[in-house]
Amino acid sequence: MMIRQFILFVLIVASLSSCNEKTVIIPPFEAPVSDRVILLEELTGVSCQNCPKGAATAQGLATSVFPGQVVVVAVHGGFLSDPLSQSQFDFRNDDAEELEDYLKPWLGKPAATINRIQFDTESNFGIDDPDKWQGYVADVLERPHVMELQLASEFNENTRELTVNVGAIPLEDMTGNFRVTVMLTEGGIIDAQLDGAVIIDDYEHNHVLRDIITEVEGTSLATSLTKNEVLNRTYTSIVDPSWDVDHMYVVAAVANVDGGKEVLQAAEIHLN
Amino acid sequence: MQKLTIIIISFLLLSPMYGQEKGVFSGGLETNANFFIRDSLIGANNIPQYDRQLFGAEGWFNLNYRYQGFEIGARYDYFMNSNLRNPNFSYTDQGIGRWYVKKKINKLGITVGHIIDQIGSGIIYRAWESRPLLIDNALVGARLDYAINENWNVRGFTGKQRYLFETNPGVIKGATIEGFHSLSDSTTFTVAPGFGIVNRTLSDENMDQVINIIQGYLPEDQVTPVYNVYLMTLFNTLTYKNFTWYVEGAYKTEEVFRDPFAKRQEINGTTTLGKYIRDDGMVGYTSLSFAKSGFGITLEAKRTKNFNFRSDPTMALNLGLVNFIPPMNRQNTYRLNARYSPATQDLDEQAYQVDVKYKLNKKWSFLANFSNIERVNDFGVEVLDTSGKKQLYRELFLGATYKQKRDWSLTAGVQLLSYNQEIYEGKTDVPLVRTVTPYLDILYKLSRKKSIRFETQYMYMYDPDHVDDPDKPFVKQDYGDWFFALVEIGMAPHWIFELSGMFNAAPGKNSPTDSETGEKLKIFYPTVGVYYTNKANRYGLRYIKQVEGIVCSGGVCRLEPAFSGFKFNVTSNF
Repeated sequence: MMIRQFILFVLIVASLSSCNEKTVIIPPFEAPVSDRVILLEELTGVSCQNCPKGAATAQGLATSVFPGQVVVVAVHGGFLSDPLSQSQFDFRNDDAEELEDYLKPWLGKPAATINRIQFDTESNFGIDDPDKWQGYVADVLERPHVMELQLASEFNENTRELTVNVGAIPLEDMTGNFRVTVMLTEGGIIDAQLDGAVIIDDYEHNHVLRDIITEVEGTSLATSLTKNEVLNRTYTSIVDPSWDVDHMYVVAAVANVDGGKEVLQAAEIHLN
Repeated sequence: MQKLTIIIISFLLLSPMYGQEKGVFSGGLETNANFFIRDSLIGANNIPQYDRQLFGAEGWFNLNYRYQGFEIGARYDYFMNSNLRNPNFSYTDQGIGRWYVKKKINKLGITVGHIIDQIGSGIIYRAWESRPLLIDNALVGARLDYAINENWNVRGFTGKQRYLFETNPGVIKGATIEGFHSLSDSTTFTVAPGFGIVNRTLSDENMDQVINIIQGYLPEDQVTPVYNVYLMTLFNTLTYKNFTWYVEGAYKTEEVFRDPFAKRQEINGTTTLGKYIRDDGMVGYTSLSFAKSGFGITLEAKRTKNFNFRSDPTMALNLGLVNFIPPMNRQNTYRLNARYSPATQDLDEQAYQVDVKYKLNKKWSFLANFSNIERVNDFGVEVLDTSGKKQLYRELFLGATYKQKRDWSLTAGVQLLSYNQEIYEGKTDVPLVRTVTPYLDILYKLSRKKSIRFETQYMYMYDPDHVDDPDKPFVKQDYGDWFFALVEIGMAPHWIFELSGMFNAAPGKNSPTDSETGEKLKIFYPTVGVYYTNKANRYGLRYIKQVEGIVCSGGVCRLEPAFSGFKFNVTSNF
């Protein structure tokens, strides 16, 4: 008797799973129209097997999905960044390690911070699924554009001295703790990279963070900003002779670190 | 605060009054306090606890109360600069981590609050707790159970999955019927069948996130997500004389989940691994045991395909797990034998295990265990072996125990192991780690209350595929060879003293390097500890220097970073 009831229970309950739901429609993606420029800091490393996916995603966002609206910085800090036996270069540096620490918590690599925002839907600061980055960039681009950032640089080939001029133009009155970070990145570097279970000897590394010429957490800019009142800052640095200036970029970002780390606007120019 | 108020009122309402039956309180405390001492050589650095906080703690205090058919309980959780949530960071929070109210009314049982439960062996649903892994995925909701008769019961539940002091937004509901039936007049031939079903409905917030992800794919990689996924399982335990046979088959309807090995075309033309796919899944699991006159044998087999089930499909690692797939390897306890332990693979795993125990007489007993875990599908870039399968784990564990009355006992044996570090730990450029680990355990009773135990193992790592290259010195895989020894003195009923050390006898490629000479270092990792037990209270204080490793609980694992410092632990039950 009980066995019959058991079978009946199974049939009734199993039949519930056949109920159909309305099909979910995936709308075509449309990049938001915005004057914002987003800083995407990609936590990566040459000994990280999934990092080529992160790099490809970041590159795709910067060049194809949101052209001109995403600035990528590839941070080769301490974790999974040890050079491979085939490596010619060591991309690690003190600034990258310090920045990697500043962008914690993150669980693994690849991970990225988008404008250094802690998203409510993420338990960590660094988002470790590259598939999510596009959605978060689109989300941030839809937020109000509050600052223009202008960049100019001069490079003396003889002394290798670099001068960077940063001009921040607030588009509304704001108070907080505003800091500016200026970074140097290099691309087009051919060197080994782990990819899954294989090592790619001639992998092209782009956006590699070489130096931060301000403080890593940003140099103080102001505590209150007035609409359309331009703030200019100048920074100088000596560019390491082993770096190829033809493939180098200057990246700047202004963040409000009062109660968070959120970047308001980023900018990128070629170094020379 | 609202939770706390409800719990206090519940306790007050149920408090015994004059002339009425007295209630019963029970509970317990577990707390860990860690004092971090920076040691950059072994990798115990670069987290806030080593750099500036120096101290971290976590604890759980639970209180239960039974009174006139009611049972209520609550647990206070606290995390103070704890690295349990994220080994790389510090987590601080506290509050009511669990509460529940239960009442039995004739054949009907009612539970509301945080509910721990399981269907079958947990393959489609398991709400459970493992503190070392910081897993407590209780269902926050309601459950009804009904005893149809003395052998059959049915229950149903609905709620959201707990995550720390929050709940994940998706809604989970399920039902199960379980029974027992004797097929003969005696109890030698019985069956205990069961059937369960679980459904998870994504929240709109979850669905938006999934859509955002899939929107970013090229059209050829896009799939259509679904709000609802259903999991069904049919299971039975058949007992006949000395045989016990458990079998369970589970099916999961199509849903979208992340497959880290699926190929995806990026917008800039490159092909990468890892994307969300839509597919159905299954698990088949069986276990056959025979036991008679000191002889016992258990055979287990399992096949898993696409059975990743989370409250939120965008979660990863140990987050959001709704089900539990049984592990298929021996749960080792000796330090080096347990160093490489496989995490259950929920997307593709084919495994079997044989465990044999034989007690020859009062003095001699023997055990042998063999487990083999493979992946079957070709995931594209990975190299499969000639049989078309990818070896994940293989272990042969042999042991013998000799007991000399109550004076002393000796256990010795050997473990041979292959472990796929690339899959289990995400480490790259590593072929299968292969080890041979003999072990010895001697317990000598000095008196009725005093005993001394000595334990030692040597892990030898070898690489049968290695080809000598004069230009490239051979370096062993991972950390290379280890030697471990432990002396434990017990003075019942209060004291246990422990002195142990783990020595990296032949360092491997992941062993720390001397920054000046570039040579791999042979580092000694000592542990000194003392435990004091007084009735139901136990206190432990240990100085530990520990290499990074894997901590597993039933096939669910997490990477435990290197540790240097003191650990103080208190457990208490009342």
